[in-house]
Amino acid sequence: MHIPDGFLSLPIIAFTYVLAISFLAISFRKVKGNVDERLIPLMALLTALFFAVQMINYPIIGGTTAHLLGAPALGILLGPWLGSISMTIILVLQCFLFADGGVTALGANMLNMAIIGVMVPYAFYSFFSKKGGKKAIGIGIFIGAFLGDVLGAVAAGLELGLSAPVFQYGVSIAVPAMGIHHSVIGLAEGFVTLAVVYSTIKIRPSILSLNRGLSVMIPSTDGVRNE
Amino acid sequence: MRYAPISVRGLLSGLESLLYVEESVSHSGILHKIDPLIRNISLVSIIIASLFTRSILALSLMFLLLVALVVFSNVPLRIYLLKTSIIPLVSLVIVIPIPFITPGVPLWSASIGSLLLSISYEGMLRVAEFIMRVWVCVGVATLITLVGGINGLVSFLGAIRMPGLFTQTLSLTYRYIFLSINESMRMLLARDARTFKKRSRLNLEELRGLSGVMTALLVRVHERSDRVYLAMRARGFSFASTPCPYNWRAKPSDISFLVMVCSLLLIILNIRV
Repeated sequence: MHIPDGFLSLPIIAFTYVLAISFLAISFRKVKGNVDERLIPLMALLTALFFAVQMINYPIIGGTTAHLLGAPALGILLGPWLGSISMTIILVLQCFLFADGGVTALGANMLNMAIIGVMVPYAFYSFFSKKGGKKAIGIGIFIGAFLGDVLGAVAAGLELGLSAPVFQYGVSIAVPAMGIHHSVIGLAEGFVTLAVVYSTIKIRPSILSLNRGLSVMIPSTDGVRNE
Repeated sequence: MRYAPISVRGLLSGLESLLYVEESVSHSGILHKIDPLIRNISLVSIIIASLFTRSILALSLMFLLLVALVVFSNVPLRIYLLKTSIIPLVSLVIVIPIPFITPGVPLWSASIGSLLLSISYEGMLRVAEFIMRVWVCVGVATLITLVGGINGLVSFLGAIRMPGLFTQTLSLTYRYIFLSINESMRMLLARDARTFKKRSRLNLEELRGLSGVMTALLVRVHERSDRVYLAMRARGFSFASTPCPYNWRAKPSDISFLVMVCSLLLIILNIRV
């Protein structure tokens, strides 16, 4: 899903940069004075972990490989604002260390992965966890992670499709190509995110409780929320 | 590397790439002496200039400018060209149909049954322009890291006033990337050594295994983060009182370098053949 340099037109680059930077500024404002200092090393280590996880490729159909995005798990574990910042750090490092995702496409990649990829799963998780019950939370995590991945890919397809004549394929080709391919990856993302968050809640709920916004969502073993 | 399990190959190549970046920063050359802010603005201006042209000649001259900077900065040219050519090659796969679907003067045509295949001159030009632009942009991003390393990047982010939370977390993340990659690799190798795989494609069993690995890594990360935090506090570190990682130290020679790069780009953009 990482869009390289040279694929996007100037108006799309400018539009996505403005949107991504505005959102990043809101994220910094939201977390300012609200972050437990202990969360920063944890955030850095989690970012490093998901950076590594993105390098693990798995063969899928047609001889191609796929990797997990990690954005849904970061959003749920760290909260939406810190999750977005964390995902942005991953994208900046990937862009400059591996040329994976371009400098001019950084705004678009942030929009697709650090904003849509984090916010959509978090919104679903948050909505379903308010309903209470382990099953509802599980459904929220799975659907959120799946949709986060697919919608991020669809956004990438739109950005590419609207970049004509720089990128020669139109929206009608780019959007289905990205959406269909990522719906397979999205299923894997949903499953793994669900398993990871469930295990975290079970084994280390303190990871979630470090985030003040999320601490109320940690379910007890019988599925009733701790208020 | 091809004998390594597929799940580990990406990690191995990532580690290799990171080690190369660390090594190349220690070289000394023209770009290494330039102030990080000026250097990165100069290099990014090449990317911006590449977006304003559709001329293959102009894009090729921009790439030549990059090659000259690589040579004068003592970055090994062969490795630089190898590193930067992977993404354009992948991009080439994406644009392969373009010469076939772009109307124009046919360069080659053949008929397979009732299907007429034709490669147009205009389509080939589009592909060449696209690949050259991708190569220039990838070349710039690679050069920024090979010359400045992670410290140069953090200084640049500090200079453009990114909040301390971002720059400090980025620095801390980078320090733990090697450890995270190594730890993930060990766990995946241990898992592969213990299991016998009948199918190589992604399946539910594979996903369950990956989730287990990730959860185990997550618990380790959590335990380590507490130790890291306590160690940092014991050394008197405070996130609130960390200074900006950039001090303006641009000299006249730095400004001259920026002016020279921008002038060359303006000349390149105005070349008409």
